[in-house]
Amino acid sequence: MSEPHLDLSDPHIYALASAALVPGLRSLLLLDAQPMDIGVVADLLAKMLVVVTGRSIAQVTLGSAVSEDDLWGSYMLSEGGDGQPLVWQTGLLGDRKDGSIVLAVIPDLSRLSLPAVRAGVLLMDAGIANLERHGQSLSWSPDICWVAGCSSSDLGKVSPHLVDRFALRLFWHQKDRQGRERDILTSCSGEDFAKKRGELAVDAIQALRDAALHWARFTCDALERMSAYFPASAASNPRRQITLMRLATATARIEGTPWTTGAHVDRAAHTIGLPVPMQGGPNIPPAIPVEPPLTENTVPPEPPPSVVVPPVVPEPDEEPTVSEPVYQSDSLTAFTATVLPVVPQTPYLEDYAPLDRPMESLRFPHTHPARAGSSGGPVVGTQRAYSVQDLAIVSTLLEAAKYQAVRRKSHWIARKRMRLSAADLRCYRRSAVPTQMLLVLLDYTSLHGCTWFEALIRHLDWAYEKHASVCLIRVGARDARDELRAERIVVQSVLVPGLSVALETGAGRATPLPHGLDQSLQTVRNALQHGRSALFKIRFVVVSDGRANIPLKASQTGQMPQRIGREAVEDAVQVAQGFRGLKDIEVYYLNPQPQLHAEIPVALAAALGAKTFLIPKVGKV
Amino acid sequence: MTERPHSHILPYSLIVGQEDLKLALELSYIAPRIGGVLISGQPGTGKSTAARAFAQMAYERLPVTIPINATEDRVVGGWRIDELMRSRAVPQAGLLEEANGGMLFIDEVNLLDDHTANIILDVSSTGVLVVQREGRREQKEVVFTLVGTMNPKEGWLRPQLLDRFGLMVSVTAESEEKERGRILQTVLMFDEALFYQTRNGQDEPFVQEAREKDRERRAELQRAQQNLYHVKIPESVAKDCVTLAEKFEAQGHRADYVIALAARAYAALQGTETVTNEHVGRVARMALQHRRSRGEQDSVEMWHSQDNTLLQQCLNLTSI
Repeated sequence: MSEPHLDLSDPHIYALASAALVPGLRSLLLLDAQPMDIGVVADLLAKMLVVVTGRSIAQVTLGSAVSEDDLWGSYMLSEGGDGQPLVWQTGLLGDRKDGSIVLAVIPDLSRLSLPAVRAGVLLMDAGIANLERHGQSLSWSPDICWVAGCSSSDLGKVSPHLVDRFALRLFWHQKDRQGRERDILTSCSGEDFAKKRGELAVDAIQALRDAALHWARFTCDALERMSAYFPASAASNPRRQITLMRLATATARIEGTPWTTGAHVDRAAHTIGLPVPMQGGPNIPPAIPVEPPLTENTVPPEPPPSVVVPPVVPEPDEEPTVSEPVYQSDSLTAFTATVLPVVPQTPYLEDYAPLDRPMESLRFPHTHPARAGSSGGPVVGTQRAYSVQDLAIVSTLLEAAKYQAVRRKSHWIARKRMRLSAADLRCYRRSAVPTQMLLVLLDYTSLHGCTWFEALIRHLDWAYEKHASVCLIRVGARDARDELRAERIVVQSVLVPGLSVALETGAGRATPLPHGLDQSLQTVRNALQHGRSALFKIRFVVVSDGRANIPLKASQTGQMPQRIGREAVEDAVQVAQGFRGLKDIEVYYLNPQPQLHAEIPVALAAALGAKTFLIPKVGKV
Repeated sequence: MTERPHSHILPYSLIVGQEDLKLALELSYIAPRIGGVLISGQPGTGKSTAARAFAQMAYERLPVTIPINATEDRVVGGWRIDELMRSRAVPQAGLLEEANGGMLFIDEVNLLDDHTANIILDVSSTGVLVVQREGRREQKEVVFTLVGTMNPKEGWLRPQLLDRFGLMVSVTAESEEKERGRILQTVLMFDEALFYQTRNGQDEPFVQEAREKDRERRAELQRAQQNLYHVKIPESVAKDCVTLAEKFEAQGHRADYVIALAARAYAALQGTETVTNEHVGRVARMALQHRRSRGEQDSVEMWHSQDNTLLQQCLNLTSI
């Protein structure tokens, strides 16, 4: 069965063709793409690069375990009989002597290893690459094409320094309901993009070949149109303007026209999802080159069109529907409408993604040389060792092998044995992995009028000091997705900015405390009792007045009971008793001292077996 | 095949705007004892491009570069490994030695390993490279101009390393629409020039003109370098430099000296025989802003309008 041919009318194919044509566009971020899609895109892009450049393509995959030596090169045992015990093996991203283009495929950018993230920052959009490792000294122009996938909801986990380096962002799946329905129908019909592994259409190949041979100079019209997409108030990053113009130039080249016009800019903007500007941009100075390039095949072009055809864009989303509350409040005036974050229509979602990464996320974790490797985290490379802890045996032997010829000459004994010196020792460099956790259950409906943050801060300080991860169980938060349920947020460090945002949320209406305690219990069991967790201690801090009003069953089923009695409070006490007898956990109860039912928090703290601290009221500190 | 690296580097004279950055690099060339330049700014502002373009213009070669993942043997020097495996011990110079008399460039300097940063700190502060590893015991005098780039959002440098950079420039994206337009045009024209350079093997005329302008600028800088110690620094100017360091509560002991030296280099570049407070006023911010308290560094804006007012008062100037 013959496979369908792909042509350049497909916006995605057109974007890939542009990336193949213009080196400055050879970094693509596919948002919300399936892993299979990324593989297909990489294969297709490789074919296009061969058509455009005539060079071979070396495809490499970068994942969560790739190390510095993997990326940049290392000495390996020689298999040849030339007497050299070791040979230099070029890394995945190193200088290819065969002139091939490296196609680096990153299935999930949010899980990329730290050495690869750092390599991306250094190499993407860089004119020069430098290698200064293990005696090798090289400088070259990196020819790397990057294709990465990332869920748009995970963008906050990736360093913006790296995300910014990606020239093109392509939304791989429609987010709105109609688009999703179309996706499903297309997939079911067997015409899914992932199925189209076929060759490019013949005319598309010819268009690419022709485009590779000529340039399309930009016009004043194109520059004016570009400035309409990036008004002065939004001009923070020149890379985005440059990308738009490069994409427009590629469009003109694919069309075979010698000029890049405003219409090409519009098509480029439509491809990457830039919203249509309300009006034309202000004038900018005329472009310096006004003559066409002087090449043998130059044909005097027609004057560029001045009429700009606005591209077809999807209708803006409908007004959000308002759902009915799960139960009627006693006082309607007490509640204000939930303010949803406004996400503008833009390809640059990272500008609005909630921060979900530690500060200084591009730095290697600092470890004292004597304690290197003691974190137990995943290996991200090797480094010189100053103790025999966590030794990297192979790296140590390879290091020693370099010097054997010289060392054996100077030692008359044991000429056939390998001689090691302290300078050869190598240990693993590992990612920082928290060994302790701060688990906070915060009942937002009980915080009014008390100095809860001041009471909590000593525990946050503890988490900072111990480099502990933080798990926040949110009970009764105003912005909860489902007010019948508690929510769990886990961050690697107390310094993750998203944590403070989550803490500062106001109170909602319901108090699903039993569910929050149940979530906490599950978290503790998972962290301490399952698999090869590095955690050995959890500090559990509960901030609640104990006055729950959502029974556990209601949270689990999502069904609100007809009447609310003491069932929720009793559930909370029962779940709390599950913490008793757990090892490696210390429990603190911060009591907001409610005026009504002051006995409930006391009972809950007793059920937890917690040390209790009273939170002073505001003004009584 | 990969092209020769320098063809990818924008000529220095084509860099649009970024006057402070260009001035800082030029001053550190005229007076190497200033101690280098730290370029801080958001991504996409051309920090690395400017540094490499400057090196190509001023030193006629790309800068010696320490990548953030460089191993210790390449930084301080070691043995040639291929020769070692043939039973011959042939020393291999490290990057610090290779940079002697030129520019040492570190892209993303704030992401450098602590260990490597300490080595650079030792050498740049003492001017002596001590190699004591794997049987090598050597000591050499090395002088280089340290130029580093960093994105402050990825963390700051330790104060000791910060102090080794004589001048610091905060680079921001150009906000002037005219300038933004010129930047864009330059990038696109350079894209085009690279396209034709790859096909024809020759630079486009506008690139050739720019390289000629680079040569002229290098001659001007060399003249200023030769005249540096002929430029006089009045005692009153020296006093004002000390006052500035005190008033701005600069950490370390180099701020006043660097201000004076940078002002002298600026006067030499301007072709004048005596340093004035106007010269001091032009360079003071570059020498002071990264030597203030840590709290100031953490803020996005490290220099405020009231700092300019204080500067004007200290120097008795009507404008900066």
